[in-house]
Amino acid sequence: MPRSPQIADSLTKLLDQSSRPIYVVDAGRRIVYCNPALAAWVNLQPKRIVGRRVEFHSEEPKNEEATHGDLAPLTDLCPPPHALAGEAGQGTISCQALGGRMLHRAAEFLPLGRATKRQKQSDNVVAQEFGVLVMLAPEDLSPQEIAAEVSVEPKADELHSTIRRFRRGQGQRYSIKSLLGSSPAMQKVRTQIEAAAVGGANTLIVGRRGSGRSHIARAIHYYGNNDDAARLLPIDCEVLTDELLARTLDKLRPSRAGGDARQSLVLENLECLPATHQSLLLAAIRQNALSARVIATLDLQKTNNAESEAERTEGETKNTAGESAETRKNAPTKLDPALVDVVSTITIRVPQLADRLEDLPILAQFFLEACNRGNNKQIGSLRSETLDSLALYSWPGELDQLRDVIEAAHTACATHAIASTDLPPMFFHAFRAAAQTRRPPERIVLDELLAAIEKEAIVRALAQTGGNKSEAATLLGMTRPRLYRRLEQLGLLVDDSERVAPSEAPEFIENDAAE
Amino acid sequence: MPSSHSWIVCETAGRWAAALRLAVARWQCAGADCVVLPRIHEVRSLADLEMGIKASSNAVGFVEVSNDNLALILEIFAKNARRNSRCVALLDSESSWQANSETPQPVNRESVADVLMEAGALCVVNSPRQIGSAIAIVTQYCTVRAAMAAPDGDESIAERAWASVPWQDA
Repeated sequence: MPRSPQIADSLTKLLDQSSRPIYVVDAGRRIVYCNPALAAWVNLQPKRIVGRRVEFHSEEPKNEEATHGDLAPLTDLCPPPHALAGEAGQGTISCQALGGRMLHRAAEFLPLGRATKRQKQSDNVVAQEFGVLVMLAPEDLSPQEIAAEVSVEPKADELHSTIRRFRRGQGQRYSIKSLLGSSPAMQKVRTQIEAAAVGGANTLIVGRRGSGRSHIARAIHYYGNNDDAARLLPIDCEVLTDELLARTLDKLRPSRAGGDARQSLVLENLECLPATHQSLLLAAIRQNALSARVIATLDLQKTNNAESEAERTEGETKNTAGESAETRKNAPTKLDPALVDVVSTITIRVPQLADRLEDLPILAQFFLEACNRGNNKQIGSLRSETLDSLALYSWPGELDQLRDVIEAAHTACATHAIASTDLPPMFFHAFRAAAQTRRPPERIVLDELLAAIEKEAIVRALAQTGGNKSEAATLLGMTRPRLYRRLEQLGLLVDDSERVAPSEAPEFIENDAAE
Repeated sequence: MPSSHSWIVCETAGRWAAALRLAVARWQCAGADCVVLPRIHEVRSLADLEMGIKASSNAVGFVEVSNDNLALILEIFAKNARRNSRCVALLDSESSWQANSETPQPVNRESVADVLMEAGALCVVNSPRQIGSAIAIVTQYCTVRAAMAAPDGDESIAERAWASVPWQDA
C-alpha cells in the first residue's frame, strides 16, 4: 500500500527534529536521506551529503573543493559490510572534524528491506542489497570509551583504521605545503604537481639524487587520490628483481569489472632499470595493462653518463668473444627513448639547491627544527654568517646533504644558534676552497706522466721482491724479457759497464743470484 | 672488495633470523658474487632496531610485522625511508590478517603487504621459507648504498694516477 505524501512528510519531520544524527543508505550504497543533526556533525550541508556514495575503506576523504566539482565517495559514513548484507548491529562511525581531529560515535545499524528467496537459498549472498538506517549516539565517544572498544582480536575495521590513519598521515606528510621554498623554481614545481595530480597523467620527475624527487612523486599521488582506495606501489629500479616486477605488474592488471581505483606506480631511479625490464614495462603501458598512472624519477646526469659508457662498452664487447651473462648484467644500459616518452606526459624538473639559494634559510630552519623534535637540545636558528657559508657550497648531495650537515651541526652546537664553526670540518674546508680563486685547468704531458708512473711501479715491484726480476715481472703482469727491455729504456738497468742515471731509482744488479 | 653490512632482525622468537642465516649461507655457497658480507644480529624490540639502524649507515632492518605493531612499523618505515634507510617486512604468518570478502577492498595479508611497501619497505617476505628471495634485493640495495657512500675524488688526474700505483709501502 503506497504511503501518502503526508505520512512521508511527517516521518521526515520527526527524523529531522531528532538530536541524534540519522541517515539512510540505499542498496546501491548511496545516501538517500540525512537529518540536520548529521549534517552538523560532519560539517557538510545536507545537499552535499544526499546522493553521495559511501565506501568502506581506509582512504583519506578529500575536501570536495579539491575534487573540482566531482563528489568523492564518503568513506567516513559507510556502514560496515555486515549491515549492508542485512545484519543488524552496532558499531562506531568516525569522521574527521575541522582541524583534522577524529570524532567517533556509537552507531546502530538497521538493515532496510527483506532478503529475497534467491538470497536465502544462495550461499553467495550479494552484498549491498539492503539499505541501512544508521542512527548515531547523541554524543561523541570519549577517549576512554574508544580505548575500551579495542578488543584483543583485531577486526577488519581495526586494520582499516590502522591503514587509514597511516595514509592520512602520509597525505599530510607529503602535502604540497611540505615542499618548502618561495623561489620561482619551486613555485613552478608546486604548480606542476597540482596539474599532474589532477590530470592523472604519467609524470617524469627529473633531478639529482637527494633533491626530493621521491617526495614530489608521493606528493602527486597523495594529492590526487580523491576517490577509491588508491594504492601507491613503489619500485626502486636499482634493486628490482624479475620476481618483484612480475608481481607488481600482476597487481596492477585492470580488473574485469572495471572501475579500478586510482593507483600510482612509482618508479624510482628509472635510469637504473635494466633493458629487459624496460621492454616489459613499455609493453605493459602501451597495452593498457596497468590500472595505474606511472610516476618515474630520473637522474638525467647519470642517464647521460650511462649512455656514453654503454656506447663505449658496446664498441669494446663487439671484439670480445664469449661475453658472460654476468658482464651483460653489469653493463650500463641505455634508457629506451620510447619508455621515457610514455612516462613523461608531464615532466617536472627539480631545481638544484645551488640554483635556489633563496630557499636555503627556510630549508635549513626546517631541518634544524626536525632535529629539535624529541631532543633535549633545542637550537633556535642559524647565524647569518652560517647561512652565508652554506650558500657558498655547491651541494652535490642536494637536500639530503643539507639535512645531514644541519644534523651534524646540531650535535656540535653548544649555544642557541648554529655558527660556522659548528659545521662539519669536511664541509668547512670545501666551502673555503670553493671561495678561493679557481685553479687554472690542469695540463699534463701524457707521455711523461705515464713514463713516470710506469717507472715508479717497476721500482716498487722490484723493492717488493727484493730485486728479484722474475718475481717482479710476475707482479707487474709482464714477461721477464719485457721487464728487462723496460728497465733498459727507463735507464734503470745497471750492468758492469753502465752507471744508473742520477735519479731516485735504486741500483739493480743484472745477474740475480735468485734467478 | 667485499663490504661488511649489519643486518638486524627484530622478532620475538628467533625463527626468522635462523632462516636468514641459513639462506645467506646457501646463497654464498652457491657462488654468488660476495660483494656484501652481512653480519646478522637479533634484537627483540623496535627501539633496539631503531638504535641499531641509527648507529650504522650500513645497517638493514628485518622486522617481524604483526597485528599489534603494524601501525608503529608503518611509521618507522616511513620515517626511515625518508632518510634513505630501508627495512624488510617479515609478515607474521601466525597473525590473523582478517579477510572480509564482503568489502570492496578486503583487508588481508596482501593489502597489508601493499601498505608496507607504500610505507617504504624494501620488500615483504611472507614466510621464513621464502626469505631467500629477499637476499638478492637486500644485497643489491647494500651494494648501491656502499657505492653512494664512496667519497667523490677531488684530486687531479695526476694525483689519482699516483694514488692508484700499488705497493704503497714498498
